Amino acid sequence: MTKTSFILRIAGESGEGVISSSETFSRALAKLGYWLFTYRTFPAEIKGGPALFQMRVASERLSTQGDRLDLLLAYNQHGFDHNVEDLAPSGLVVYDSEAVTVPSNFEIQAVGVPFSQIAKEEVNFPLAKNVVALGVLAQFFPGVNAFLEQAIEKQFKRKGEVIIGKNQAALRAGLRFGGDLPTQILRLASPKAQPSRLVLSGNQMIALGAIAAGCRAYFGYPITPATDIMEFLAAELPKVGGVCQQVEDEISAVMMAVGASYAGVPAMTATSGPGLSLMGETLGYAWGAEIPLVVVDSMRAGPSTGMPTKMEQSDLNLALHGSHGDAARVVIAPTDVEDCFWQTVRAFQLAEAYQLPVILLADITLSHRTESVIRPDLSQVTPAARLSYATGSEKPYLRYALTRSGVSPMAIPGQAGAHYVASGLEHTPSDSPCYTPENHEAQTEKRFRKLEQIRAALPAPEILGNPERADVGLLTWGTAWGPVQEAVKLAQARGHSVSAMVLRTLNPFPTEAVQDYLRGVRWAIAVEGNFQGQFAQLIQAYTYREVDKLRAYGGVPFSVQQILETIQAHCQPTLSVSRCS
Amino acid sequence: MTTTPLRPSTCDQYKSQVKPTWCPGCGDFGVLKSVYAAFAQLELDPDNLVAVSGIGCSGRLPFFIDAYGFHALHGRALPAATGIKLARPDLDVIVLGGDGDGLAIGAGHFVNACRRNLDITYIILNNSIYGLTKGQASPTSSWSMSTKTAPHGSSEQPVNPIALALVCGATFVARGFSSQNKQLAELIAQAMAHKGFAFIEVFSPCPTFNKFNTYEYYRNEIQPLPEAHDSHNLPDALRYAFAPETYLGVFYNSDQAMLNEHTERIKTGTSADLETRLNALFDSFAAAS
Repeated sequence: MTKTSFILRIAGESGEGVISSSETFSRALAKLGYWLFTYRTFPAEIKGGPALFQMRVASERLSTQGDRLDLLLAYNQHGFDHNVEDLAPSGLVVYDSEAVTVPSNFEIQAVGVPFSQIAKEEVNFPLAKNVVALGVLAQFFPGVNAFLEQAIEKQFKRKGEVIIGKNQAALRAGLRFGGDLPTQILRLASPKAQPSRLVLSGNQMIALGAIAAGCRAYFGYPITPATDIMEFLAAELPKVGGVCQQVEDEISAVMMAVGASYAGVPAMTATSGPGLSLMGETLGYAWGAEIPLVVVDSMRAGPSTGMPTKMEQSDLNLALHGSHGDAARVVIAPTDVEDCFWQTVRAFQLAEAYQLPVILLADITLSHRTESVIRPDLSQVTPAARLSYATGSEKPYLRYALTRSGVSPMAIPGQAGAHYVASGLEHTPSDSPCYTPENHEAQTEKRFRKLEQIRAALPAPEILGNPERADVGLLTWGTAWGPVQEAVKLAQARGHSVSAMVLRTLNPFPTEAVQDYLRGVRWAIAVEGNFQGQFAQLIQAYTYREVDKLRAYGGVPFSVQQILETIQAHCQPTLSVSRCS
Repeated sequence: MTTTPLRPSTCDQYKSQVKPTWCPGCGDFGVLKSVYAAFAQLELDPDNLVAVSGIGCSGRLPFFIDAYGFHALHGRALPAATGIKLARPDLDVIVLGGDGDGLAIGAGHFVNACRRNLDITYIILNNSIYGLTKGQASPTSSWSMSTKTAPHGSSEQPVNPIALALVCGATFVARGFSSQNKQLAELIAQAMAHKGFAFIEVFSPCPTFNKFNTYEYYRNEIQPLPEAHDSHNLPDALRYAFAPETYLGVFYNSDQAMLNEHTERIKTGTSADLETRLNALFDSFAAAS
């Protein structure tokens, strides 16, 4: 059987190299020319507990990691027991025959391989059982072994020739493994000609977008799943004249970013929900004192410490509203790894142009997964630009002048004749603390005028399919867009009248575009990864239209099947008398 | 410090149009006067100077200084100053705040700012009371001192800011008194000239809400550090910090590597290298080998 896309899952014990060896294998597949989409999940502990890595490769671009496994590699009993239910009926399990017992009534094809024994007996290097396994898997993908050899050489370069040699031998031992591997029944179509493609994670893309947009100061506190943004920028920002510093907590990280930005240097911090909770007060400061700021929140499952390595889209309300007083912020949500680059650039452009805080809402699956993406065209990047104060252009200089757009020129220290105090106190157009009703109203309106400017210039939300007279219209945001797209395409292929819309800007809300969209569809369903239906509530608040909810709140992303079933249920004739029409 | 003096400075040059709103007799008046004098002595360029504060009576100080100012959130003056100085090492940064701001809500930042050793000056105007909220116990309130929130007397030991700064790695540590303007101005000037994190605790009495730590109380308590004290000697500095006597002067002064020297040294490129660098990074992620 030759397939157009192939889904491979590797399950085993965390800390035993499951993730890193899978990463190596997925990159080797990408080098063969396939489009790649990965998903990984692991416990919060460094060692111990189940780890899982799924990779999907295809000759066409992918939007999800896929639901049904073609091949499961199970290193242990838990990995077998908890993943076989996701196998396609035509799928195959390759398992460690020393660690896994297959039930006698198991109906799917399963092949046991003694990975450790092979590593011990044929290579005399028991540590290389993962590499033996990669060799076995490589039998399903002709040509991939050359890239695996390169990867091994690169990975173990520091450890010397002996270790490289042993791992190469382990790989060959896996490739030689005879058994009764049905490599012919699972064949992936050859890849098409390759455009200029990169393989990288959402966090790496966010960091690259920040550098490209002009970010030159980063402050952060370690937190899963945002930490590797800081790790990347710690290495890279000094190479373009920037500064990156790990600091004592999220409160200081965000205030340092505000300080750097006040001093004229575009700045960012990245965190997850617990950190964003701590940053709320400073986000309000940046709104009131009108200081450009970009904060990345890579969401994970809450509340509180919740499930730090699991998926949720439950920080929407916090991102939108998490500050006291009449404070707002722009909230942007990228949908995939490539989008991380462009939305991060856009976050900086908006923050700098409108002198306000922008929150980029990513999530753990997006931060950690690797994907094939089109190499960003740098000629399309407009660096973020601030309305700066031209020395001597105003006398006296009014930092918070009541302009029509709401944006007033921002001086930075070092400029003559423009001394001012940035403050969280309400201030006059010059900067002096002032509590009169007239002034507070005028300054509040000034700040919110900026948000209206942004709303008026919002790009039209992306729509899939024709919403006019569609039976079902899905509305979603963030990474839920991936499975929604795949489900909609499948449903359309089955003759269902369905469309979908994704919002990349959650605040300011694109009210008119959503209202127009809702007018066309019979059933509107908000698809999002939280229990409360925070996005559904947002839609209802702005459009006064009730929408149905499809939610995922178990710590795992949506499956395509789950969305497809909901679409089909809403398309049934018995539901055609619609309360939403 | 990288200041270029433009012209001979006078105290008036640093006075803004905004008049202080402190209570009559507030110690902060004296501190402000000494701050102006220190700026004038150093001939600081006000265009290149940033005064940062938190929230509290002393938090208003930047408004009274004709320079750039950053009036941060309660407890967050040091993070703001850190961001400013790391982004713009060319700026002169002075941080002014109260004992509640720096030693209660912002204590974590104080510890880390000391060990980070950025080239900034931090002055705590210590009145041992929460003044702006009208008289609650602060982290430096004396044991058994009765306040509105501790009507039966404070049952917590006061923090020792000098000792704390010393053990956390501050490289210049001094104490002054708001009534001794000349000496205080001299300490502030020394702190600002110091390369590294300079901390000064200033006794700045609150005549309205603190009836214990009065001007008279301090006059009876304080004495200058012995002339023989070697301010490069950390164990001696700690001994004086913990002594039953209340000393004023420079406890400690040492040269250590500053964080912003490090962050500047590791910069191997500029924004001019952006496109080359981004393309190199994209190449490193290229799917095809």
